[in-house]
Amino acid sequence: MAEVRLKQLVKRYDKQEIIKGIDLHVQDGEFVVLVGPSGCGKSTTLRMIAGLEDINAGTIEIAGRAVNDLQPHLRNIAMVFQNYALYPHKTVKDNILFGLRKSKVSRAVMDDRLKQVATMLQLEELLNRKPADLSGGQRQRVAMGRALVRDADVFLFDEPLSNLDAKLRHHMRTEIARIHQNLKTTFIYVTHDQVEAMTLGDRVVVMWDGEIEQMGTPMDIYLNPVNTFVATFIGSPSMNLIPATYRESNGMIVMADLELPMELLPGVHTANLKDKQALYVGIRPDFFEDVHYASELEAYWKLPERTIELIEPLGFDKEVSFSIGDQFVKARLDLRSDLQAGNALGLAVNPERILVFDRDNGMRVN
Amino acid sequence: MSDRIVAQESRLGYRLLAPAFLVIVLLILYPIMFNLYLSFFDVQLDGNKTWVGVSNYLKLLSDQTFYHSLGTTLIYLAGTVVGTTVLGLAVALLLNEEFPLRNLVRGLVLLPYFAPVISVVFGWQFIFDPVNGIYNHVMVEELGLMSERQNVIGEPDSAIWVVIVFDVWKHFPIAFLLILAKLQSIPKDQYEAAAIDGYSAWGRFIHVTLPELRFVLGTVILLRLIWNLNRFEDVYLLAPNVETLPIYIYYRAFTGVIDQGFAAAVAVVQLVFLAGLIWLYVRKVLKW
Ligand SMILES: Nc1ncnc2c1ncn2[C@@H]1O[C@H](COP(=O)(O)OP(=O)(O)OP(=O)(O)O)[C@@H](O)[C@H]1O
Ligand SMILES: [Mg+2]
Repeated sequence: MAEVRLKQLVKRYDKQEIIKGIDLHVQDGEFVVLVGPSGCGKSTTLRMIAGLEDINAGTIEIAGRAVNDLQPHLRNIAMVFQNYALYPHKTVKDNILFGLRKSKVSRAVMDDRLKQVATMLQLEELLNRKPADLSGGQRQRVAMGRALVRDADVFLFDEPLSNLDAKLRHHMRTEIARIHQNLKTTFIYVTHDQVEAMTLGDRVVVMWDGEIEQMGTPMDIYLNPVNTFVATFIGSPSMNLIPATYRESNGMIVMADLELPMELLPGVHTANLKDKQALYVGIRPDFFEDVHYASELEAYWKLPERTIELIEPLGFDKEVSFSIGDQFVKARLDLRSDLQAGNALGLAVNPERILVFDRDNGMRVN
Repeated sequence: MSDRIVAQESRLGYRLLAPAFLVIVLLILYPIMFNLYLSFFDVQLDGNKTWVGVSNYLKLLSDQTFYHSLGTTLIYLAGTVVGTTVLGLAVALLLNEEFPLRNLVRGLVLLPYFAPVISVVFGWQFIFDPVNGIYNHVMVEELGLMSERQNVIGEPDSAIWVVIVFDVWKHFPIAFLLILAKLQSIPKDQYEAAAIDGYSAWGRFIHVTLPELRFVLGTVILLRLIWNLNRFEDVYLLAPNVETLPIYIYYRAFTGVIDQGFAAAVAVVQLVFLAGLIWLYVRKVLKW
């Protein structure tokens, strides 16, 4: 059990800054998820916490102690590597137990934990195989098992579910959440997967290009992104960003042929806008509602009728596409809305869910 | 592949092997058979032979000098094989670390292996020369570790250690080279995983490096055993009084009271050991 604190952490490779001075405080027992596009420095950050990469500036503290110069084997950390890093000469069983052997726990405890982990990860049949004889997903589960049997202060996961099929991934996600609930240890978890980030994290940290763009609870990140990067990176399908202009004379935000009255938007203050300011109006596809099925529409912004250009059925949901000016916009509606391409579409949006961004720097306007 | 292609390929394989096979038959198999044949005869200098059955072997079994030579060979093998392997491993581990001029140092380390035996042998004999050698000078005059100068190479009991050290010095580069090549191919992430699992540098060496080196260490040890069981020139040139089996055979076959039948019998014994080692190499090491 330990808190982890990163202070002004910097990593350089040949003068190029890969991690540009990040600050992050992970509470004892917290589950923090790092998300961000490929190459933004998630693995590097994890590896610095583990002690596998040295630090060019800043400090890392684990349990209140600066560990910058502490060797990895003394940090009592468990880690799932992005590329598994299994021991090729050892069987699955020995791979999993290797760390416990070092910490000299009793035979009985070892057997017990092995059994537990093997059951949870569905590895029972594979315990005597060597890594070379496993599929990618099986190897990934062994890598998970190797970390989860440990009694570590901090658990680090680098995209541990990326190679599993959808069903197994869902199963594992639930398992990881449960393990965390039982262990109540500090988890730092890297993923590309939106759903993993949203469902697992007590807190989500969005990284981009070596910097932290935003951190907060999953809901906070989802509902209140601070800029267009976070807004579009989190959420699937991605948030619609509709180019718009502010017209001070009548207090309207104008999007092509649509007008959105500022007075509808409780979260945006006219004082923060200038006349003719270039903006984006951000609306998540999920927040569009079909006027036929929505209740309490009084406070809602009702869009003038649109024509449906494309329908993509997703099972329970469907994605409906239409245009605002030149901008293609997606709405996610449920199966009650029985629509065809070419039909007229009546939509409404809860104004609290309408976000406004500055088009030049991408920052949110409140 | 279809059966036809397999058949074609193996026919080609045999054809390519044929010349080498012919040479082996002429130069190796024939002498071996002839040696085996001789070992059952009493061979006279004029070439006359009389069949004596296994009496050469019986004589050998009751000959003290044979056992002495066998013991010398075992000490020589143990010393040189352990020495070259340990030194080769140590130097390979050292030169696998990053430091300036690493490639130059790696090249220099190989020099003893490429130096011609005869020239370095003279150098070594000079080092241990009882009158002018630096060894005696340092041990007696400089450090005072020995009370009087000794003819280290002249005494078989001490000469064998010189021969062993010489062989280790001359041949560790090949062990170094093989081990280094393997070390460089061990994935870094295994060390990282072991560090995360709580293992210090020593633990990582035991649990990651050594298992990865298993094959190459087995190869080094067995090849060195095979080579050194046959080694003649290094020993004979440096200290002719150290009678390992090949040198013992040479003395019995070509010097003093010549007894080629007896020498042939000793050679057959050596061949049996050799065959055992080669069998071990093919069955065990190549299997890993
Ligand atoms: N040894 C290295 N030398 C130079 N650059 C490196 C090195 N290792 C990583 N980088 C660079 O650092 C950046 C961050 O890499 P990192 O592996 O942390 O990304 P990531 O966020 O984990 O990406 P992914 O999601 O693809 O795993 C990348 O641009 C990468 O090219
Ligand atoms: Mg990564």
